[in-house]
Amino acid sequence: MQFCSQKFFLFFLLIFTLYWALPWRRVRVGLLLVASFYFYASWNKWLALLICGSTLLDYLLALGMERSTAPWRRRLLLCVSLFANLGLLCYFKYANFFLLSLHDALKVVGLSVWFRPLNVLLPVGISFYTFEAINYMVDVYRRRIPAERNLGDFMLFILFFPHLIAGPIVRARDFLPQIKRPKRWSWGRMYLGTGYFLMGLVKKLAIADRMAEYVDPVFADPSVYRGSAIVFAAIAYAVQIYGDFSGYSDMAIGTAHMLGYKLARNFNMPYLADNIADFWHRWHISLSSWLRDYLFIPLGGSRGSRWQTARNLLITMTLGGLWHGASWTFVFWGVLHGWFLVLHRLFRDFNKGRLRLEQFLHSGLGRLLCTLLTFSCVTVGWVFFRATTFGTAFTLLYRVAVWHSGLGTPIPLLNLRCTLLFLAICHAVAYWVPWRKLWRVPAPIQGFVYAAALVLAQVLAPDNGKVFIYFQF
Amino acid sequence: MCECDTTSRRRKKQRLAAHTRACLLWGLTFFAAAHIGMLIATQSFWPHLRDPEFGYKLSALRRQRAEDPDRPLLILLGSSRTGQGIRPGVLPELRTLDGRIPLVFNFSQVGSGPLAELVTLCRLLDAGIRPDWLAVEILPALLGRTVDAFGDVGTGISRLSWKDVILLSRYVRDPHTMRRRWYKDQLAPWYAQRFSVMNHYASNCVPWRLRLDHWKQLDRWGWSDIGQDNQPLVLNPTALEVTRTTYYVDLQTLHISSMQDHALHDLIALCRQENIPLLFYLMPEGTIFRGWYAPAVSTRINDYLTHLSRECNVPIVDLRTWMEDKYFGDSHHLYRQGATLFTRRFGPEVLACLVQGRLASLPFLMAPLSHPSTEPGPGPLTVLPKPSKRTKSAALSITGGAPPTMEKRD
Repeated sequence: MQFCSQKFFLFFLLIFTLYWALPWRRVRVGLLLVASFYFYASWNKWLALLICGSTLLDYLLALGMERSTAPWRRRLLLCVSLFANLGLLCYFKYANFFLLSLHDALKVVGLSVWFRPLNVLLPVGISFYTFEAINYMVDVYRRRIPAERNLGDFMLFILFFPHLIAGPIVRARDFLPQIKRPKRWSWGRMYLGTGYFLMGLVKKLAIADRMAEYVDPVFADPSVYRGSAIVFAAIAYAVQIYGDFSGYSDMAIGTAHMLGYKLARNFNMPYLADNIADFWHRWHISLSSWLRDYLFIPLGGSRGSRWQTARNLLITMTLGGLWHGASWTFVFWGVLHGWFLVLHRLFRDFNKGRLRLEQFLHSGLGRLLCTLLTFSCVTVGWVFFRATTFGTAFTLLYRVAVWHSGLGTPIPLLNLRCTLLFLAICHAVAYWVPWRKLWRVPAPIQGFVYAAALVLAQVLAPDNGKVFIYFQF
Repeated sequence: MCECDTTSRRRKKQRLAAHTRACLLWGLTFFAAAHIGMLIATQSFWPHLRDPEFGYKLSALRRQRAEDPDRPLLILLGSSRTGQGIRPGVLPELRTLDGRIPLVFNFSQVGSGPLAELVTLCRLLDAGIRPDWLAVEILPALLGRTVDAFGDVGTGISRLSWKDVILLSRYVRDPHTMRRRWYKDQLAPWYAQRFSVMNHYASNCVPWRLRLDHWKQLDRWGWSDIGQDNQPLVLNPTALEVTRTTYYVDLQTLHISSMQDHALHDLIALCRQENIPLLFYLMPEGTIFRGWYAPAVSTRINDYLTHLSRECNVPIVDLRTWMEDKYFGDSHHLYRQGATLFTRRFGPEVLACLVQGRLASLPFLMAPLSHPSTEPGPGPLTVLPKPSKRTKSAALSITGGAPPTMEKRD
């Protein structure tokens, strides 16, 4: 069930009506739990049971951890939980990848051992809810939060349908208190939720899915396209993945708002970042902050020497890349971003004391150039992220670097130009016009904009609904 | 002071709540208004947004009629073969027996089989356009289809008006699903008509596979003006492959569909009821295309059409071998030059006989006519009395039995 489907609309309408019609908090939590289970089971009911089983295990382990005073027992329980969560993730997501890689490695040294691929179905959203469960267990272990005693509340934290499939990755310390709090109807929240949802719908249907028309054919067979078509396809993919993922996040945030919950912001105009570190503060914020708090800092963060910091960055980003998908191209994408971050740190250190250079970089032109450079680096990274093999990725880059003739863009460029212009206008409004000022716009005008956005999303919707890109992670 | 602060905060909150509520309600109102407006527009005064091909051809026909309202009208119905293959603009002058020059208009629509042709004729009559003669193409490959350009419960549904749905309910295999899909489309007409809207106003933003704007290339007489006069006359392998995948299986296994048979009989009955002289014709095909007919299928089609012609006493002319292979791009659509040549022969040899009532002298008849006149002749077709003024189609009822070659496979 996709957020932008009619089925979800009817499902949400029913849940929303029942939710606000029921006056009891516990019953509302129960309703959301049932709805979330149904939402997931609409993909696969057995895998829905698997999540419930893994959540129950974490619930019990956390309670055991809290009751225990012996540090070794607490550590043991944490290890059991990490082993169970990461074990499930590895089995479902990475087992075949590792087997295939081992087979290829053995083949290189002359040994031919055939591993039969496992017949497993990847549970949708497993990477997201595994990270949520880990953050809860680690926080309980560190005694930052108490273990949740109510099973229903804990299950809702993991299973809450708006964030279940593709985030944002919620923190237990932010979300569990919200479940306890009684909810009251608020028009302001409804307005905010509707706004977010519409924004997400437009990003997904009117932007991301339309950009796929440039991207898919070129990435399927890059050898027949000329360099300019490949450059446009790469730019289109940068726009597509932003529209797709931030669109999903916006719809999740909006849906949660309408039910009285607040999810963390996941995107903050990432392509306006003027360096790669800034980009990661704006892109998939819930994942980058998770990686920072539960991987980079425990590894030592930036407290050690320059070399140690670089090592920590590379490890964090490599694992971040692997988190996205079971393929070496994702790993390479993570390594590439790790190197970008290391180089950025080196450049930042190099800048210190060079006043003229710093002044230039802080000037309007300097920031524009930095933003363009950052966008170019990110777009090169997206080529590896989108390509299914290294061969495809290198063909794409080679055909851009050494100009080749070939086919032009799969559809006229007007579409891309209009989309980029539309995005630029929206970013400009979001950047310069404070939200508070928007409240002063007369209600009929705001209402008209809402209705126009919805009609626009409907008119620009593709012929075949495309699945959200991050569902595969 | 504290109490005053609380009151002011409460007031501010109330104001904000009222404002946000108003915003949402306005949004909902505008959204509903947009959809209701679109629904009314597509179902009444903007039919070209619902069914662009029909809408544009209707407008073109009305413009032509406005120039000389008393000119008799000959309408051609058919598929894209007729759409691209018959150029009324280059027709040698046709004259009726009393010396009048009829207006010939190509009202073909892409993918039209008998059912779609019946729907088109009913729509024309509803629009107040009653042709004086009708020439209808039969595309043999479509005679076996259980779906049609309109009858398809898939993409064609959004092109239908309510009257079309009532009419089609009598033919399609699953009228319940068709009606449900149609109602669903009416709930969100902007969504249902999105490709039509995009093709009209931003066709450059539409991927090639969704481009439906061939109606923009129509000439004044409804001919699809695709290609150029100096176009090289070579077979296009890609187009040929598309044709092969579209028709090959049909031509190997075809059985006459009861739905198409039913529609053909009703079309004939409607013409009799409206007193419109009618002829059917089979458009030219290339050697490759003709080679795809399995012998059994070929016999079945010929037997069926011969039987239909005899049974209903309507002329069916078979022009499949009229054109050389070089004039086809894909072995069944004529190039511009081919269309010109074909039209110049088709006019005097076929259409002239129709407008002059000399049906018996038509060439390539599949069966001789027993009553070679334009007057409605006796036959096994019965038309029930009309229940209402305009929905003539709903009043039709056929009692003619199925021809011997027809096998009901659906």
